[in-house]
Amino acid sequence: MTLPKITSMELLAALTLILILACSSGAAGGARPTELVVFAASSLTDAFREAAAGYEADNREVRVVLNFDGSQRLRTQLEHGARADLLASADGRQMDLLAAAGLIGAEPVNFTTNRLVVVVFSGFKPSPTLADLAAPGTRVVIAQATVPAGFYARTVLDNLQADPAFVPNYADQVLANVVSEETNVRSVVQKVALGEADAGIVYQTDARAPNIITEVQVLPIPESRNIIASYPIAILSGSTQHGPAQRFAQRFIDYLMSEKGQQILEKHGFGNAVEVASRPDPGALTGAGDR
Amino acid sequence: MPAGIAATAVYVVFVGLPVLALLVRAAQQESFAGSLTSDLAQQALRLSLFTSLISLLVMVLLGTPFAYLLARSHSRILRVMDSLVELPIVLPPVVAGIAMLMAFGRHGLVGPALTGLGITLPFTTTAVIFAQVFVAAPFYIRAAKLGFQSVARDYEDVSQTLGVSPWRTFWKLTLPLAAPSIIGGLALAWARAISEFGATIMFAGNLTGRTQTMPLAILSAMESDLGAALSLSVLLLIGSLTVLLVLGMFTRRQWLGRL
Repeated sequence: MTLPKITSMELLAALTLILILACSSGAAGGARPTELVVFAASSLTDAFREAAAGYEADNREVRVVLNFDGSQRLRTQLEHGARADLLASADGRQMDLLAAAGLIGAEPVNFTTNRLVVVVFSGFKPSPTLADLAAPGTRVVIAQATVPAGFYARTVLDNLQADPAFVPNYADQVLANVVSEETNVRSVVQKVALGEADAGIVYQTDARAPNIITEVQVLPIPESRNIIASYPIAILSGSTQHGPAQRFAQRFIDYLMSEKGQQILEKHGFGNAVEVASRPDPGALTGAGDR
Repeated sequence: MPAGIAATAVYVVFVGLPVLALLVRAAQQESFAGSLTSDLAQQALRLSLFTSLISLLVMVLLGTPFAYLLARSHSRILRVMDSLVELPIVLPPVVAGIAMLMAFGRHGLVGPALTGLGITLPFTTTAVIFAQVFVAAPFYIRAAKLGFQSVARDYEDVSQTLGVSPWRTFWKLTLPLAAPSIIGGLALAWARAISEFGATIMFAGNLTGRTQTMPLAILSAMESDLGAALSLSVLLLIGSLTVLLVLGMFTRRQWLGRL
């Protein structure tokens, strides 16, 4: 008995069929959890991973998919058609831009706050001070101006320049020492932790990671000169198209605002949502974003 | 046969459509030249041209003797070297960047030694050239090697029995005969160098005017000035097409005859 020969066309048809079946088996089946796609600023990495786990434990039918990057990068992706249910940004600018493009589905909610610190590589010098950032030869890394952390950093530098304790052109000198402008704040802290840069301006939450804290010294910024970054989170208009996800999106926001969520954020060094009301908008202080 | 045509059509559309879309969107801007006047675009253009040409020079100076050795020698060690030459081609560029940081970074393997000599590499324009040479040199070396291999050893031997020095033989005989292959290799290497991104952003950083080459500038511009991003992209596209043109010319027989 001879076996029939399979022609190449039949083989192609069989492979296509297998591919289609493989793809569609993913779509079918009620046991598969709903996916909630959350775009979040890179500074929220550790906090959101924990929050997502806690949220999933309370909502077993949902699986949270997280995408961390610079807020401006996430906003750009959304503008170009990326599908997500929620955006948690490190500043309000991204929300304003998305609202102008009609991509915000509901009013943003400020869910947490953050502050900046200066991190200095541990091997740089014995007792570094903020003034050292302006010293000639110091290699400073900050985020680009379009990144929230970069915008805030320039604002803080201007605030420090206005402080009589610092030289009159402090901000200019520090910016002249910048050797790289990263596209997200986590890259800034990494470069300092590696010792490739001497100092960087990052969020206080970024300096706390276990693999970072052993490599850097943290220099606090005077409270009166620091900014309070308020983080808004919003349901995106693309989310309303696939019904179940919107319900879960609101629940995720509620989770973050609940005591459990706020505790997780606090544990990672974030401030609580209430703080926002007591301070003016950092963007309104100076025209620092133009640097 | 129909399956072949269908597959070809799909592939051509798959590759052609993005290229077309880029040209169309870039043309829709108010002013192509205008979008290139920003500081970001100007500095990126200048930096990319400068670094890629220096990189080419380095590749030629280091790569040509190496390629000649690879072509002529039969030693086992050089067979192994052959694989090393090919490595940067298959290595992911960002991995190359991390690796160079681990080697030449201030706290890398030879970092302290370099710092002792007063040399710091990360975040400098030199680092950009390092990254470009690392990823692009194999293309040149490979092409040069093939070029030298195509020159029969007999010719060189005859030349030397006629009293011509090895050096002159190389310059007047071997090199001109290997030229088509070498020029093709240069074109490909230049294209690879100017498009380098992953290793550059990892090892050299991202600073306008110093290390922000065109690919890095395009990434940064995407988030704030789409027009500049599109225009820079079109320039790189034109550069790539020019490279293809040069490659096409030098693989045709009639050109070999003319040289």
